[in-house]
Amino acid sequence: MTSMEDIIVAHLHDEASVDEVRDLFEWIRENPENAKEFVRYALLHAQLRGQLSGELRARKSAESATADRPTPNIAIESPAQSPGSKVARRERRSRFPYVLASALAASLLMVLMMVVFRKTDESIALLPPTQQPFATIAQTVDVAWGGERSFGKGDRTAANTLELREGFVRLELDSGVRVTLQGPARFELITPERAKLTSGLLTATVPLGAEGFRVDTPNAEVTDLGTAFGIHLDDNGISNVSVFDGEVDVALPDSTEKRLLKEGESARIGNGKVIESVDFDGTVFEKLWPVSSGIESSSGAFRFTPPWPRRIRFVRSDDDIFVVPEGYITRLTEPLTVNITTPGEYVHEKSLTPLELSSGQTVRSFLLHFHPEHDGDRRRFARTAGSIRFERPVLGLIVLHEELAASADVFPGRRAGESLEHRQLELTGNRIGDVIALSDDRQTVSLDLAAPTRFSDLVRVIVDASVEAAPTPTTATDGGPDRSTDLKHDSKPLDSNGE
Amino acid sequence: MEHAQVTRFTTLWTQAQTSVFAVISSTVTNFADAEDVLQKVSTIAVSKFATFDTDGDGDAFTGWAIAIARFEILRHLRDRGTDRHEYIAESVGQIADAFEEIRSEYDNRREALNQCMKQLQGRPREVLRKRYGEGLKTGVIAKLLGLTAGNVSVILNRTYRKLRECVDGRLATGSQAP
Repeated sequence: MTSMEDIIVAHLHDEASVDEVRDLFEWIRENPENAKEFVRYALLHAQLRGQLSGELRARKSAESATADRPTPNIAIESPAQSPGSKVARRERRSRFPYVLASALAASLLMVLMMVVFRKTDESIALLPPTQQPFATIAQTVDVAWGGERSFGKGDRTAANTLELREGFVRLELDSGVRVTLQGPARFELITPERAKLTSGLLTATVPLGAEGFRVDTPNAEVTDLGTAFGIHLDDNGISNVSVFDGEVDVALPDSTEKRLLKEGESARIGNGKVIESVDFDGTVFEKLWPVSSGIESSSGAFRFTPPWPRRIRFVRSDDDIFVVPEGYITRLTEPLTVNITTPGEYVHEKSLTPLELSSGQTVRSFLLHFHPEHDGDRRRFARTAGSIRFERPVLGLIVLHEELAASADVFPGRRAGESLEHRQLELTGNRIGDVIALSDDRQTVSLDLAAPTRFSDLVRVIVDASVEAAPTPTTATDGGPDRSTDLKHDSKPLDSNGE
Repeated sequence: MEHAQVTRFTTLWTQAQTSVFAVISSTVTNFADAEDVLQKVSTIAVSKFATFDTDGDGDAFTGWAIAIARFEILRHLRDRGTDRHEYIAESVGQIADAFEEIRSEYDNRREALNQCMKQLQGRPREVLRKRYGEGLKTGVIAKLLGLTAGNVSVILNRTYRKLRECVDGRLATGSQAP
């Protein structure tokens, strides 16, 4: 159902239907508070027009000055131009706030120009040309490069073609878009908003603010609308698009056919110019998750689940600890209490090192989830162990019930049963107790977990995702050595999609 | 108009212009039309400036200019004469009053918006720049960016909400400073 907020925005952009306009203005008349709410939107609308048209004009004026020719603003005032002509209307589109021009004498215009230019030219912002690097090679795993060019972790790149014979690469665009490729694959980065996959497998996550990122395949155009999705271009040239979170728009090139795909939906596009709905199946992307989530390596019982779909409470295994990335990178809006912050091994609850992480920090969260297959009749006792290494330092570990429940509001959606007391670690120091350790470099978490009878274990890992924690970028060089680290993910991928 | 009056008018108009345009563009929802109306208002304001109280401050001038704008908006809407314009015309007075009531928020909102815009990059900023800077309609922006009009509307809508939340958030915390 369309909200009143949607209708207001549509109305301000001259895109509301007659019925919507009627409903909107009835709503405005109902209550003075509604009218105030409406005018706050309208004020934002007008302020944006003023600010951005000012920026454009200042930019054009600067360009004109460089080219040593009259500015377009002067042309607007040409008396020979009929005010109603198409040209005049087009010119007027960008002249706000110069509407006074024709009403006043030239001297007045000059005064006005001086006043307005002083106000606007500080906010000029030019888009960087695509020759400038706009993406970083954030991770490479077991990669063998094909083609003419190889990249190393930390390399910066502008428009470029990445050809992988095998292995995994994660790219992080300055816009926040993260693309992970699994070889064999060929991927062309064209602009910060556009890329092309001509073979292989990719997943992309597009945070709020970077919507509109588009990946073309030979037979489909996939536009992200703030979401996470995967594309598998198989050997027969068929594009399979799966949406893990949010929405994407799938269109056929040179055709009006398109389809909006939502979370948990997949489509298949062959060469027959049709978008065919197929059952969602995330298994093909499973090997990509560790790399795309920022996990460097793991050993022992660890097993990966995709970041989506969300519910994991009923994912069970006697032997495996599931690693569950919790959605997107997040900025803490309020302080977050964690139970362990200091490197070391923890066996007793009393030796925990709690701390409040301050708000404003950029973090990524993972759940480590151990839930044996209790059948309810027999008394069972399961024990399992493993360690996992993250690309970035761990800021804190949450292992106790109260903090698990509180932090579930900060990283919502996975419904891991954080509110249940028996999901916390039992740090009792005895045979049926759990053990957790954080390495000295803060990147490795080791677990030795016990889950007697109905008990199960849950740990929330808060990892630093700030820009400062990123590897120092270097400039890509043609044909340079592959500096990828020898990373292994010896754990098994999840068989199902995590439900 | 004497030079001193021209300077005074220019200063007052520059201060008032966004407020006047806000009232107009909330009811005349096409930038080209809205700017036509704004131009008429400025022409009338220049011609009637002698009748404006010379001791009046910026707020008084803005109120005076908005009063002129109300008539011009109604004239524009009635000229169009469709149901849509009729629904809007019935509420012009109430909308102008509501703008008057939130006048004290203008400066803080503008300052907060400046800060919020600094955080906006990439595609959303590009879409906003084309929509607000160049005054292009969503369909045209879609063609230029290789998107569908629906995509552009979604981006515009989300960005708009995000900016509104950011502005409100900054006002709530009183942190307009960078």
